[in-house]
Amino acid sequence: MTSYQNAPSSFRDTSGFVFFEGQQVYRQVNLIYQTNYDHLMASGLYTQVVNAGLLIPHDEVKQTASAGAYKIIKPETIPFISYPYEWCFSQLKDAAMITLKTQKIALDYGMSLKDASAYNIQFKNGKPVLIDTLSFEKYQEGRPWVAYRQFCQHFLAPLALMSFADIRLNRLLQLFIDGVPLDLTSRLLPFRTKLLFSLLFHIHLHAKSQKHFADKADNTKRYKMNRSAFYALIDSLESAIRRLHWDPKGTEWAEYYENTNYSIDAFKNKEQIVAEYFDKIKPKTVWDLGANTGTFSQLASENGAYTVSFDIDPAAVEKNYLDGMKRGERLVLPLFLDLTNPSPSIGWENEERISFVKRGPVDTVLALALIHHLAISNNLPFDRIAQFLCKICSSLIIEFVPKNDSQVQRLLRSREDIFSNYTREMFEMEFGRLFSIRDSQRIKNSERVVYLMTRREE
Amino acid sequence: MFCISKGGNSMLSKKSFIILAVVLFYNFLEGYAYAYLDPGTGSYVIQVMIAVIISGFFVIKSFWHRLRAFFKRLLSKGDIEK
Repeated sequence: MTSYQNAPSSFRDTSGFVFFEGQQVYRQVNLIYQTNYDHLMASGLYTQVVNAGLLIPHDEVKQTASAGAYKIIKPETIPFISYPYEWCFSQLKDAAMITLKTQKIALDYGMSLKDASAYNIQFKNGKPVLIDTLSFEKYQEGRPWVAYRQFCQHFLAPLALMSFADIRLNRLLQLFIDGVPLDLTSRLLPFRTKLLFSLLFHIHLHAKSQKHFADKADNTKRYKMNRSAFYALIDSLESAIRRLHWDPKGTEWAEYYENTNYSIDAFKNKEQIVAEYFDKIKPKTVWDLGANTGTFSQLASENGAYTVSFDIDPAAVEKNYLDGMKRGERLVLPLFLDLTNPSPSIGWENEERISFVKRGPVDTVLALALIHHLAISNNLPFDRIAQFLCKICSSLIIEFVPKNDSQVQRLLRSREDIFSNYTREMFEMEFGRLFSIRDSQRIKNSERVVYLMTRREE
Repeated sequence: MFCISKGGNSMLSKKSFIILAVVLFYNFLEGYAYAYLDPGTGSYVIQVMIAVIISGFFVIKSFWHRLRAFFKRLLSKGDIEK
């Protein structure tokens, strides 16, 4: 008996909602949306945006429906759900650009997006794609863009903050479920942003306008904007987004690649060992924790695995994403993750956007050059690390970094060494309780050891 | 300007009234049926303002181009006449 479950975040739009039958995702299209849906499909807009890779394609299916249903559609699946507070600068920027591009094309077919939420975008085949098929409504000449406020809060504000204030500020999207408030954005942005037309109007004056009209009962129907003015507005937002840049060079994030501990031979040997292990276990899904710029994630994807490539360094995630774009990467998804404080479940009833852990488990976790950051910098005992990894994967490729390694010595430089249990023997013993160690190999010209482990079934 | 009168015109005026009522009803419905977001009055106001300003720039730009073209023709005409 398969379970039907409405998606906890899909309740705001009366046009329809997302539901699950077991692992399959469906979207119910309600009767109230019928005219819009038919226009979307018949006008050619659907074909155009799907072919341009902007909208997720779907099939119409026969399925048990709730009251008020017009049709049930089955969209293509997204391999891993991610959220805007986990994206790097360019991922958020690309997501913003496809939203605006879709809006421009929609106008040509007499339609318009009724929302512009960053949660309407997911990544598939390495690129952002709109997943909310019911976001299109018939364009009414004269009406301003109903989604303008949401676009500014979900996209323009965090991108401007990342570019002009601090790269870490997209994480405000985790705190503010409907995008970063504009008054807060205005306050955090430096003064020189008031000298730029786009940010002056779309952020600063927009915030003031929101404040001024907050308590005023006004008839919004008297504000009119013709189609060419509408187009000009979208165009203005497009150039505003396009002009935002973030270059890690010259910031504290510039030294993202930490290849200081391997000779060329050692590095090659490490790659060989990891590739050999992937070939042995052939996972379908991989999480690369502490992936840096994704070199080893690529080894996983070359074996056909869908790999999510996590790192705490925004510059590393950015480089991983941009490099992937250049080579047309389809199987690696780079994301930001602080493993000591991973994304929590947020939203209504803490269920709308799910936590990092709940989006697992995966076949294999790759944990290279990571253990010392968890055990030393975060004071985690080996058994706690093993317990956590046991929860999220069935097999593990992990590298043990011994205490005499220069990277570990660097972590211990300014603190007392209270880590008498940080030894290879203790590591093998603690992990050996929950995992069975299938193989281990020492990296050539190094003291580091790579292990292949599989979770013990009770 | 149609007047409601008795006799022969009452059928026409009744029909017109129904048509008008239906049109207004659909306009009302179209306005509220699908867009579930609160767009925010402040956001509407600033949007319209931005659109007016940008459109204004385009108008000035095209006026400026036309002015330049006008003077170009004027000067070249003057040359020919000489």
